[in-house]
Amino acid sequence: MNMSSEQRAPAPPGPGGRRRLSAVDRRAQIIAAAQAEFIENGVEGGRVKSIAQRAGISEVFLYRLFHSKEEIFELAVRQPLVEFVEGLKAETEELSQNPDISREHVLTHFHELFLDYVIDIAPLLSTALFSKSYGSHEMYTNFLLPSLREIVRSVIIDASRWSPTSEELDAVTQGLLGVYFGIALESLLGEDPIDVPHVAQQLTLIIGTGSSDPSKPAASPAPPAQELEPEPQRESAVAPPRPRVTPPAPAPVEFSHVVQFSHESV
Amino acid sequence: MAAKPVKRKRMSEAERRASIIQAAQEVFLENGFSGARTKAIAERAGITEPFLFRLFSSKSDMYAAAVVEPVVAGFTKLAEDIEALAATHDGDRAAFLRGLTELNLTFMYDYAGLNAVVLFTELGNGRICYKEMLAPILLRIQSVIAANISWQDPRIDPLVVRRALFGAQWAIGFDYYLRRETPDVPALSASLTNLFSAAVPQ
Repeated sequence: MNMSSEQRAPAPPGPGGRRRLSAVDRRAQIIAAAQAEFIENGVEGGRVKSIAQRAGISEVFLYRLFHSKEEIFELAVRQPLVEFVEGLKAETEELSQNPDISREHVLTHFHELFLDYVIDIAPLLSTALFSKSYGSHEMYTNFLLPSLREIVRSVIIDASRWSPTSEELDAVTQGLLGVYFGIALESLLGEDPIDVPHVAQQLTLIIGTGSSDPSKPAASPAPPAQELEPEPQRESAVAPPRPRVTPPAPAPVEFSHVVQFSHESV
Repeated sequence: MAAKPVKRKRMSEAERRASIIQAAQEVFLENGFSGARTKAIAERAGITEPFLFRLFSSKSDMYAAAVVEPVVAGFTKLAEDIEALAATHDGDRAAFLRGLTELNLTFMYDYAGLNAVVLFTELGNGRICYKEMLAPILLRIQSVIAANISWQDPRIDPLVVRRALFGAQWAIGFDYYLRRETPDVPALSASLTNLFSAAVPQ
């Protein structure tokens, strides 16, 4: 790749300071511009020229760093999806290996973790899902869903001591992904921020995953928010800093305050 | 797809509009709003672009008639069906949840493509449609759910329930749509009802 002219020492980012960016920074900046472009206009509608404009460079200059739109798509969309799955897998493995926490805690943590990850990836995931290019659908069917199925099996199924058939496991995996994804997308569409700990706790109450004793609510009583373990500091190299819509550690609350029937917001 | 020869003079204006709306819907489904070209819509309908613009003033106009209106009508019909279901379930909450899941799954499958175009391919347009047109209908559905699944646990928030249910049903309906397979609605509804049934008293 022809990057030699851009290999300079990193400098503080300046407005439009084209020469100041290292090749690595420049590539990262272009990838971020490509993500914004794909999210706004879709993969088919997204144009390399607009990506260059968003990054404040010429199209010709962009093509010195990337060979094709497909290569940009690869790095801007596919790679983050792979990292999403790997990061989630690593953190859920950690969760399921901790023998000291109750099933309710495991489920609530799982919902919180999964929801957090999906909120971050939702715009790119929907971009990829609704695209017909570059094998996006195949990636969803052949990579994303099978990986998530294993994650769901390892945590949720263990925690509920339930032995689903493979069709049931498929439906539960898709159903759960849909729960997180749907909640994230409605928040995105309604510009209505998500209180992640609250929603995670609600999901523990709502979702039962075929408990062996169906007459018994899956998570009753659910642990109050303040008894949950402190949010582990995430230092996974793969996950970008996640902008949280709500403060990660809410002050202890009474349950009467937790339940908010926010009818105004749908 | 090549334009088909049409009997332009034989169609009434209402028929012509319907055939353009059909063509426009196909083009928007394939290309989204920004990617769709009015020229392609005209070709698909077998007419010229100037003739197209005698019946519709703009691409937005065609989009409203071919995509937004059907989606809003679909959501409205879904809300009516859910209200009708609520009127007949005789207090059997699990049956209501299963019936609700069947209605939603069918809707999410039938409307998968149109919903995706309206809500997810372009965030700006999607936000306007969601907030201005769909939010009141979703709130109506949420009220029916809240009134008919009386949870043992008073902490349960109907907003989260409604969104969680719709998310799960949408993901499954959309997946079948992408794979061009027909969902086995009763079997899937049974699995999904099981997933959500812990909160519902038996």
